[in-house]
Amino acid sequence: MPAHAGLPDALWFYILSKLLDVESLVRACLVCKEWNTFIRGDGSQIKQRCNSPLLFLHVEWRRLACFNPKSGKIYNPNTFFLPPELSFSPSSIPVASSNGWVLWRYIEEEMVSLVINNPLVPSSSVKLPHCRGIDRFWIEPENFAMLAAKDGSSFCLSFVNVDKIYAYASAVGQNEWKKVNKNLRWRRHRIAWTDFEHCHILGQNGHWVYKPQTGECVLVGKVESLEVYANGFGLVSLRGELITMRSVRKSMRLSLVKSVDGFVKEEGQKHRWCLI
Amino acid sequence: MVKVTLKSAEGDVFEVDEELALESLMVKNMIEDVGLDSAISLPNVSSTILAKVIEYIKFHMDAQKDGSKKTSEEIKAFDDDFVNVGIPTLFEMVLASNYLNVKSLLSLTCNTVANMIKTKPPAEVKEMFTSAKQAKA
Repeated sequence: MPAHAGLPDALWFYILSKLLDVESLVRACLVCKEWNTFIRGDGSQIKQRCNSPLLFLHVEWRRLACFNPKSGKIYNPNTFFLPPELSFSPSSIPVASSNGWVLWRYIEEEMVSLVINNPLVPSSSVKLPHCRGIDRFWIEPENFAMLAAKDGSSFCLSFVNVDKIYAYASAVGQNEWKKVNKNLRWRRHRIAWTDFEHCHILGQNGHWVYKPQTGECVLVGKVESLEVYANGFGLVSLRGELITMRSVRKSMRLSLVKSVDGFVKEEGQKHRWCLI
Repeated sequence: MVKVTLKSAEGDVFEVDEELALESLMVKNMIEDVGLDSAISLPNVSSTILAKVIEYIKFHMDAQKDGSKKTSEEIKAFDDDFVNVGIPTLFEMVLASNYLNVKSLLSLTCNTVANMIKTKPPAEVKEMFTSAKQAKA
């Protein structure tokens, strides 16, 4: 524990693990190496707080449900925690989820703002930098993708605007989004991050993998059955696997893609809810 | 009223009511072990900090007594003012409340440290605590 900080380890342990919310814990990682090791270590509070194997579904307005792709079950406990920022913005909606974190869009001082939280953990919300110059209508579940680190320390977001894909990255403590790619031109494509180095782009002309570190975009497979998704579909990632959904506005079908170069299996879960 | 004598690290003597002294679980255990005949030595607590701890306990004991006219706003204002000190002093109060085992004071002082971490950027937190250590040295 920190030699510079003048209190014994047991007291720092108490302060860091019991008295800080998740956002502060994540920022505290940046104070010194000892705190970083302590906070990110096995069995630490932050790992326990942020670990969730579930995907989230948007039921209506600010209501969520959980989908466990392993069991195929949907849970609707109605006891989720919401970020406090949402209470001032009637138009707020959840737009994406990743690693147990849910990204919410809300309006603050007439500007589109984003906040993430772990709905299973109280006081876990982390406010993200403002999306300056981005219209709120671009930030919708069907054209928005997010990847969050498990500990909530960094994020990648991408969205489709008409025929362009934008991808941004940010880490907690930064005030601005950093653009990680050039504006590639795509039409009616859907995107999902499987990790911080791979952004999957699925569309009429195939399945592409974009690597933001190098700017490389590679065609990895054809999408033979894409026509059945013509009415709209979404794409999310869970532990490196891609899950697609279709008919976002009406009933939804979840299909699990176990390999990145083609559809393998379709599951028949039908709901009116939207996978985020 | 039975009195208890507390002796600080510098050897200064503080005579307090037994009721007040028993708010410290550490002092309470010492009294149970050695009785009230001799002064209770507190080598880890300086006179300045011991005086502050006594002030804190006395205020809260008075506030909890029947007929106390202190409002929750007044108590909060006292607490805010009480921890509005430099970081070296705050850390000494954390250590003293931990050593003396005064739970409410430990909670107040630790929460104050936690709020400093919450409200400041990481670089400022590091600078703040490093300065505190240098000032102490």
